[in-house]
Amino acid sequence: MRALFTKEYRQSHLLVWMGLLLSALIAALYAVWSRKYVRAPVDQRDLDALCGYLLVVITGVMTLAASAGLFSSETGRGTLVYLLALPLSRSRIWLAKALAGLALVASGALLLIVPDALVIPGTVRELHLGLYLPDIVIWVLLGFSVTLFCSTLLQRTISVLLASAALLFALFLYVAWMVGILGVQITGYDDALDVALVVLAIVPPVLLASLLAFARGELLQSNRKWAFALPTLVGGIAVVSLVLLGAVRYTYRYQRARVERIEGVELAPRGAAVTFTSLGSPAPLERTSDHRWRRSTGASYRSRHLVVLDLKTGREAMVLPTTKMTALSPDGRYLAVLGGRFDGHSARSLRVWDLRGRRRVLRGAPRKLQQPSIGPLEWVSWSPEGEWLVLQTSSLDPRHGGGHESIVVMRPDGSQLAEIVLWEYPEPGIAPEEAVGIEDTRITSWGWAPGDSALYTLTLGGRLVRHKLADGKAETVWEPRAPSGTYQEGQQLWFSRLQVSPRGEFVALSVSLLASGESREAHRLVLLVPADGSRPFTIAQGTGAGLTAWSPDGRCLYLIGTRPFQIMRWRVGEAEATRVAAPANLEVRDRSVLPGGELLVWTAAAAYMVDGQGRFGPLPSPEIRSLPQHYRLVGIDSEGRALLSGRAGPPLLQAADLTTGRITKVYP
Amino acid sequence: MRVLVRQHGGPGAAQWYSAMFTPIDPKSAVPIYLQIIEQIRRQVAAGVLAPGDQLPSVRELAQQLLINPNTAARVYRDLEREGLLETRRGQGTYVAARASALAESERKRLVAARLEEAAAEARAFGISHEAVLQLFRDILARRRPARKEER
Amino acid sequence: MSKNRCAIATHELTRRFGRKLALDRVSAHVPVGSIYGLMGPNGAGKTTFVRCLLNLINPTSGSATVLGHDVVRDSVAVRRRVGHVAALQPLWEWMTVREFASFMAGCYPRWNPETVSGILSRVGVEPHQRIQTLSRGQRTLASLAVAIGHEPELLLLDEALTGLDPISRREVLRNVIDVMHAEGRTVLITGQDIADMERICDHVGFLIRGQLFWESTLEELKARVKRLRVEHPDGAPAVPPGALRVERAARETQFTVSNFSPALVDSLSAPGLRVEVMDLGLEDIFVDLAQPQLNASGSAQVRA
Repeated sequence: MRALFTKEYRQSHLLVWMGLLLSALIAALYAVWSRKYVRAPVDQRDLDALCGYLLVVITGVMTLAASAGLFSSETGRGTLVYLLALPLSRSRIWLAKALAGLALVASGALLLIVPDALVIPGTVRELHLGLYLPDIVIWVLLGFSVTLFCSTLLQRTISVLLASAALLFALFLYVAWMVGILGVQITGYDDALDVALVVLAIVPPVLLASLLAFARGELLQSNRKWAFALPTLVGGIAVVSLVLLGAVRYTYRYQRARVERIEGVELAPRGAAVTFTSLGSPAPLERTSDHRWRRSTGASYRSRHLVVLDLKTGREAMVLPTTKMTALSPDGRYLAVLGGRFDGHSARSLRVWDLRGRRRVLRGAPRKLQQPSIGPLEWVSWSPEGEWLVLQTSSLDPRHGGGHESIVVMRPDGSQLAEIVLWEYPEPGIAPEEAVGIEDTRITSWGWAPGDSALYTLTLGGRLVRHKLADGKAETVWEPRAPSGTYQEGQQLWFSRLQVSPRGEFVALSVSLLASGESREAHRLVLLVPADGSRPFTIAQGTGAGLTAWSPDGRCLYLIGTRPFQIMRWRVGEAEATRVAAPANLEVRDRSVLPGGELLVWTAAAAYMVDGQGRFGPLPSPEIRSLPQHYRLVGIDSEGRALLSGRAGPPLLQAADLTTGRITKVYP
Repeated sequence: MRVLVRQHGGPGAAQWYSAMFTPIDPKSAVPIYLQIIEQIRRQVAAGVLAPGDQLPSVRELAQQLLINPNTAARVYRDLEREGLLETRRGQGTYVAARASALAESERKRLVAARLEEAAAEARAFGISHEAVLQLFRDILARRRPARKEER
Repeated sequence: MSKNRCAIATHELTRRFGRKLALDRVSAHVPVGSIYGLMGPNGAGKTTFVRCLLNLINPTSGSATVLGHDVVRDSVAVRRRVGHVAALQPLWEWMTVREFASFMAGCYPRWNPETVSGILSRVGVEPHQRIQTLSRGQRTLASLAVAIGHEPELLLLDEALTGLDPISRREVLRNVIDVMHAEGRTVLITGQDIADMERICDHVGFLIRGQLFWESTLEELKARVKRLRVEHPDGAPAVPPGALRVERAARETQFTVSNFSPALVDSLSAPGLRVEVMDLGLEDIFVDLAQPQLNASGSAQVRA
């Protein structure tokens, strides 16, 4: 067998010397170009990169050329009879040829790359050849196998080359499909490693098909080798695909079984379901910006899974490879998902799933949304009744100015699209901060009216507009007139934080008084605008009121100031909000309004409650009272329990019943 | 076609004679081995091959006449059985000493064979015995009258 | 002939290519120590037969044994002991003769370099010559040299003499005969060079359309296939059944029989008839025997 190997190698050894020749040629060209055309360091790097690409391309071509003639030349020339008449089994003949081909490719590539790498070190550096070397090797291996396979079946070198190119292209598409669409994530590493693994996995079936065709097929006077080659190839790749998918499922199950912690817990508006991102162990590896590996500590999007938990049944309604942005519909039935692995934030990545039926309602935003003028999607949310989906887009072009932010309102299945422009960036030449007048018209917040009948928008300057969805009409509910005498010259009013009451009677606005030289938080007041258009009124002024929260029945409004800590409560019908007596040094972390109108306050150390009478005090149950040390308050679920999420160790989600004081484990 | 014949006298004194063999005709009615046997007999009878002369080995004979070695082996076997040739172990095949004694009878046999053919032809054409004999005498007289006297 | 010591023994060897039957139940026996000539026209299946023996092609059905090894199961052992020369066989043009020889030498357990160089030097081939500079005859002899170089017990020459000049042809024959000097060597020659085969073959087989319809020693063939000429002044005599190539003239009829015996002549003799027996050359024998096979289709009769 060694004699055959030697003969094969020597048959094509010219190719190897070609590698050296080409290497010298490239070095010479590089020297000439460097001297003649390169002026700046940037161009020098371009030249280095170009040489590097040339080397990689030539390596690829050399691989094909070296392996194309291995078998086809024998068949074409008729010397195959000689080979088969040797006292060697066919598999050995195949092996000798394959090894010789491999040796040719390796020695040719070495003679091509190493001299240039030594002479032009910039090449290696620019392309990070050292980093990508394993990828190059693996793709060269695939190219070699594919060409070997085609060489076994075809007679003329040119047909072999064409067939190999076609087959390589097809396999490339296959790899892209497996990794991209099927989302094969075998390793916890990044895409490149998954791609490399898939490529490596399909090399054995290709080689096996070639071996079987040669060893078992009829090579002389008939074409029965195809009957061995093609089924083996297709079957082999199918088997490999199944194994890979199986490995993925295993990895997935492995990771899912070891949920270390969860984050990003969000409760559906009516508390029927909750979404969160679960992080499995071990933590995945990621490549840093200086091209090293390290264990991901935070938000690498590998091996994170988005879980939708149905709180009624306690089961996972859906698990997805993690994405950027999700929103559960209020009844917990639909899940809108934004951001895909390769689509990023584009409108193409929008998906809407029906959790009950486990099918997709919407895949990819409708055509209108995909126009470049609309821009990538930033946020997705639902209307209170779950009839409308709101997508926030931003098509800002920081380099050249222009563009706009807008919200798009549409049905979950993508129909009945309407766009509301929030803000248009001024033309180039005008800095946004200088264009005060335009700033005033910028919409800073928006909110739904109950029953999904209308959408309210609020500009910075305080103009409140109601958009009726039924007929698409927009009417201004209120806008401020010129400042009254209470305010002095040089002061501005900034309106923000619109919150519509759950009964739709009022719209609460947060107003900031900005005087020159003072910080924004100096004066804040809350303005209530009645929805029927009657005169708005303030319920609290001169305070640093920060957070507002309506009770679910719309009867009272809580205002929570953070510095200093204070709670004020206003009930519908009263003229002003009343202060709730509470210690001033508390630091509020989370708050929720219970269905009965009580306010639940979560600080860093303990849990407090403002009851129906407006009294502030710690929670009666001692177990729940101490929970904030380990758990955060997510919200109130549909049964009135407080949903809590912990960061370290199981259980990761708990529900606390405030009346009975019982704590139940929700997840895992 | 020449077949080299080594003269006896030991390894040192190799002298090469050449004896004429006519090319064998594979197509003829006579089997190849018989053709060669005839040629050897003829040469012995004519004195070209003398007792003690060494003949080529089976291998050489087959190679040079381009015949099957089994055929060459058969030639030597048959002639050995007749007593014309003898094989000395380790040395080769030689013309036997008795060959000269056989030569005489061999010559006669060869001529007799030809005469048989002539007789058969004569009978076939219906020529009388006397006419045939007369024909033969005339031929002989024409050919070598002096030689015939010598014999 | 003894069937126990057959270098090649096939049993109902059949090979089908699509609809065409290249070998049709061939049961051949090549005894050890013989030179066997397998004759047949183009497309008869001779090359297919040789390739089956070397397991370059798998038989559709039937079996074959070469030197005691089954050709399919022990094909590597078979090829180790068998030398093969195929006519007009392309070689690797880029190799020198020396490289070619050393490549082959590396593949076989036994190798005799003197044999190889002897054969090549006799036809004026230098070791450093490239194969592409060799003439056709020199190429065939180079193939023969490497085939003999590993001292095979069986030599298969598949149309090796076809298209060669007379000198090269004689050299090939000479070397083939030389192979036979060692004990237990066998040669199988296929082709259409019937004149050459007549010289050196002692066994023959006739193959037409994949059927082996005659197999015997050459001697027996010539003894049994003869042409008879019957002179009959009046009345055409009855021609025995199975007579071939019957030619009739006014007072004479000629025909070839394949089952000649003195008794047959006696049975034909009658007062007034003169029967003359003519021996046929191998070529005439082959043509006469092959004609009915080419005309008809049917099962082969194998005479042994």
